[in-house]
Amino acid sequence: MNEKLPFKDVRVKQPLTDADFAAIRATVLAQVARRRRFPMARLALAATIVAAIALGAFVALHRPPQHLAARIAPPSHRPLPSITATPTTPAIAAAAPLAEAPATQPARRRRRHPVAPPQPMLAATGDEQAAITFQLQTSNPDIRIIWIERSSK
Amino acid sequence: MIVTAAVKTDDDGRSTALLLATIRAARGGDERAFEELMMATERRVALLAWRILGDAEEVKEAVQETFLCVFRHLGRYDEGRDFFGWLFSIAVNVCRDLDRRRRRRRIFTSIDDTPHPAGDESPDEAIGRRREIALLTRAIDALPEKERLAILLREVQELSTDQVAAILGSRPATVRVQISRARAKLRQWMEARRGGGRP
Repeated sequence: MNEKLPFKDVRVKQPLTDADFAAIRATVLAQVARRRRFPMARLALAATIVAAIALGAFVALHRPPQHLAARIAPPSHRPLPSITATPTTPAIAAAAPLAEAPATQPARRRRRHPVAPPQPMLAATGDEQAAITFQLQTSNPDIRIIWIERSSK
Repeated sequence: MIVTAAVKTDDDGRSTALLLATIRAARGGDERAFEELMMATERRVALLAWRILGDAEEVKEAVQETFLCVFRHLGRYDEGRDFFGWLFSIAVNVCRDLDRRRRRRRIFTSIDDTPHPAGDESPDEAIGRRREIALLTRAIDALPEKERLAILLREVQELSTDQVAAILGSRPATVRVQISRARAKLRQWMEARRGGGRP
């Protein structure tokens, strides 16, 4: 057990050649040169990041409270039902919108699922002494609800 | 450990004073001086890395990373310290990181890695000797990290216990204990292998 172990002979052979050392030196010197060429690049990057964080914090702190934000926020663009005046005669009022229906038919056939909710088109005829006609246009152009109300006067 | 005069020389025959002058010039931004510094020290760094890692490709990476680290921290080098001690401590840390990152060490040493026989050895003796060296290399590779580094730096790299302690950041007494344990383990391991059994 007291024998001398051959430590001095462990991995004595240089593993790298002169070409390896030259390549290593070239790589190291290239990186060193790059660092020297752009000494301020890292500082500039760090400054940009800090400025971005500061800006974000400033915006977050100076954001208006939620109740004010709600007031400022633009109204939602929900489509309102269109009200169109139609001729006083119920027969004409019923016929006029129906004439436009065939133009939309090819588009309807191409679309497999209606994407928009039914938008009722409310049409009220103005002559109080005659009759008031309400026309409700459904998403299906072939189906239209027409309500004729006789005036009490 | 303290550099006192130009009489002390390193393996390349370069005087310590000259080395110090090169270090100062490199620290001042002289790229040519830094290249000279690399040329003066790279072989020792590579050999140390080779002994720790046992893989030529990893050695390349370790040497490169060591010198980049040297460049970054050269300003912090204390001229009162042995430059090679400082350099080796960087190299050992780089090798440790590489070793941990890859979680593999070459356990099997090729017989070609062992030195060729001396002229006065018979072929049988030479084969036996090379087998012993290969066995010892395998045994060192199988040691726990701290003991492996301590025995490599003390016995293979032939540094003093104080130097090893400084490089590993341990106390000399701790290093002595680690080396003693490592020796015992190596002998036991090799005895078991020679006897045909497994430790």
